[in-house]
Amino acid sequence: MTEAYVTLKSVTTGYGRDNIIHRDMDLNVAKGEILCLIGPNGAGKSTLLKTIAGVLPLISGHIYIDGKEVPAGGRERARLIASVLTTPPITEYMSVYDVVAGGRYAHTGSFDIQGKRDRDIVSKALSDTETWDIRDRDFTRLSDGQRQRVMIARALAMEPKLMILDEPVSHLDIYYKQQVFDILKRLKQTCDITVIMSLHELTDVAGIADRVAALGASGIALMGKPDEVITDENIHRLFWRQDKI
Amino acid sequence: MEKANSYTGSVRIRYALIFAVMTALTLLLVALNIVTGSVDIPLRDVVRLFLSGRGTDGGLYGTLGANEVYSTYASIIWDIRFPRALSAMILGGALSLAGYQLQSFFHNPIAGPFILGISSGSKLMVALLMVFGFGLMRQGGSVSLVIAALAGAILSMGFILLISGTVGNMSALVVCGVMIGYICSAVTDFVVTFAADADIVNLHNWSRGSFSGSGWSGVKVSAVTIAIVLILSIYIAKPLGAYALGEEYALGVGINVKRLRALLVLLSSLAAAIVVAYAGPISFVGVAVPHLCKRIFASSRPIILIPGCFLGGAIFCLVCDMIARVAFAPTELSISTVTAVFGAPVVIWVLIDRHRRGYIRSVRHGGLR
Repeated sequence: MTEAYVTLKSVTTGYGRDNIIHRDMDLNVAKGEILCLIGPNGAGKSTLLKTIAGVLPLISGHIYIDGKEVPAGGRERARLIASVLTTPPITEYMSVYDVVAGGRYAHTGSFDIQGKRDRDIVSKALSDTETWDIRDRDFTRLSDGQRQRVMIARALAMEPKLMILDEPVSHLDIYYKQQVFDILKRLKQTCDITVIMSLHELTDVAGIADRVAALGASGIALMGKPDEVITDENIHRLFWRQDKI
Repeated sequence: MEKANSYTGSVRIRYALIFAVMTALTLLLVALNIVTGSVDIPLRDVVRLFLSGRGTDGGLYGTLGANEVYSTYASIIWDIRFPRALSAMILGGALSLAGYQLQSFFHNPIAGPFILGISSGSKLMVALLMVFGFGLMRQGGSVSLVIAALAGAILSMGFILLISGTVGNMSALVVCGVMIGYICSAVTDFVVTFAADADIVNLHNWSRGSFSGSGWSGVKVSAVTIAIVLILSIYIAKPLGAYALGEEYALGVGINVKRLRALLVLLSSLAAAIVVAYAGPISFVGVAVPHLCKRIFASSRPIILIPGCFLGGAIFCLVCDMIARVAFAPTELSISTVTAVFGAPVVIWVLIDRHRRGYIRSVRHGGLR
C-alpha cells in the first residue's frame, strides 16, 4: 500500500459525549485514493463523514492530512476538507455560479470579493463537473442530478486536499449516477484528489472505489480492495448478523 | 430573463443603479415629508428656512423671528417635521434590517420583530417604565427607554429561542411569537388601564406606534445606535451569506456558528428595541420589506441586502408616515395602520410566491445547540 495521506487516529464520533457512536477508529487513505464506506443503515457512516467534514465536533482523537494535524474548525480546516453532505442547501435568488462561488469562502477576504484566481477556479470547477452550461440557472430549478454535480463543483472550488461525499448518488438514476462517478474518476486522474465517500448500493462500489471500509456496530470491521471486502460471506455478516462483527 | 450570477460586471452595475435610485428616493421622501403636512408651508419658505440655517443667535429665530408666521414655520419644520422625517428614515430602516436578520437567523420567511413578539416585549417593558418608573425616566431620559426596550426585546427573544430549541418547526415558531405578542400586549393594556391619567397620555400615543414622539434627542440616539448596528451587520455579511444555505454549510466553510448567531440575536434585538423605544411597536415593516428588497435586487447576498433592506425600510416608512399624516389631516393615523395595509398583502404574496416556486419545505431548525 502507498503512503498514508489522510490519517484518522483513534477517532471517536458521536453527538456529544453522552451519545457516542464509535470509539477509537483508525483509518488511512492514500493520496489520490477513493475510499468507500459501506455498512448497514445506522452504522455511523454519516456520523463519521460529518465528523471528518467538521460539521460534527470530533469527540476525541486526531485527523492528519499530509502529516499535519487538521484544526478543529475555522478557515484553515475549510481549506483542507470539503464536503458534500445529504442536507440540500436553502437558496433564494442564487444561480449555480453563486452556489459554486460560495465555495471560495475560506479563500476570500472579509467582503467576499472574488479576484481573477477565484473566478478561474470557479470556472474550472464548473467545467470539471459539466455544469458550466447551466451556470446562470437558478439553483432551485435544477434536477437532482444537476444539483449533485453543482454541489461537487462547490466542494471543488474550495480546493480541498480531501473531499467528503455522503451518499452522493442516492437519488440519482443510473445515467446521472454514472456521470457523477465518471467525474470523480476523472478528477482523481487529473487533480489527484483524495475522496472518502459512503455508498448505499453495494453494486456501485466496485466501479468507483479503490478501497472499501465496512463499518459495523463496533467500528471499522473490514478494510481492503472491493473484491476482497464485498464477498457474500462478509455481506451476510455485516448486514444480517450485525452483532457478530 | 435568466438571472446572471452575482459576481459579473453587468449585475454590479445593476446593483449600483438600484442603490442610487433608492438613495435618491430616500432623500426625496425626506424632503417631501418636510414639505407636506396639515399646515401648508409654501415651498419657497421651506427652502429659505433651510438655506438660512438655524443659528443660535441670528439665523431663523433671529432674523426671521421678527415675523411671527416665519417663526411658527421654523418651529414646525425644525422641531417637528425634520426630526420626524429623519426618525421615520432611521427607524424604518432599522426595523427592516432587524426583520432581515431574524429571517436569516430562523431560516424562516415570515419572521420579524413584530411577529415574533420581540416588539411587544419591548413595548411591555417600556410601558412598565412609563407607568411605574417615572422618576427613573426623568433621570435617565430617553436612554432609560432604550434600555427598557432592549431588556424587553432580549427577554422575548430568549423565550423564542427556548421554544425554537424544542419545537423546531417554523410555523409553530411563528404561532408562539404571535402568542408572546398577545400576552405582552394584554399585560401592557392591564398596566395602562390602572395607570394615572398623566402617564396615559404619553403612553397611549406611543403604544399605537408613531414617529411623532421623537425629537432631536431621539434622532441622535437612534442614529448613532443604528449606525453601529449597520456597520456590525455589514461586518457579518459574509458569514451570514454562507449561513443562509444552512447550518451544515456554514460549519463546512469554517464559520463559528455560535458566535454568528449570538451577534445576529444581539443586533436584531437592539435594532428592534430602538424602534420601539422611540416610535412604539410598528407592524409588518420587518417582514414585508426584506422580501421586496430581495425581489428588487434579485439577490440573496447579505452584503447587498443589508444596506438594501435599510434603504427599503426607510423608503417604506417615509411613504407610510406621509400617508399617516396627510391622508386624513388634521387627524393622524397610527403608523401601524398604514404599514399593515401595505405590508400584510406583501406577506401573503410572499407565501403564495414561495409555494409556487417550491421553496416551502419544512426546514428543520435545531435551535441553539
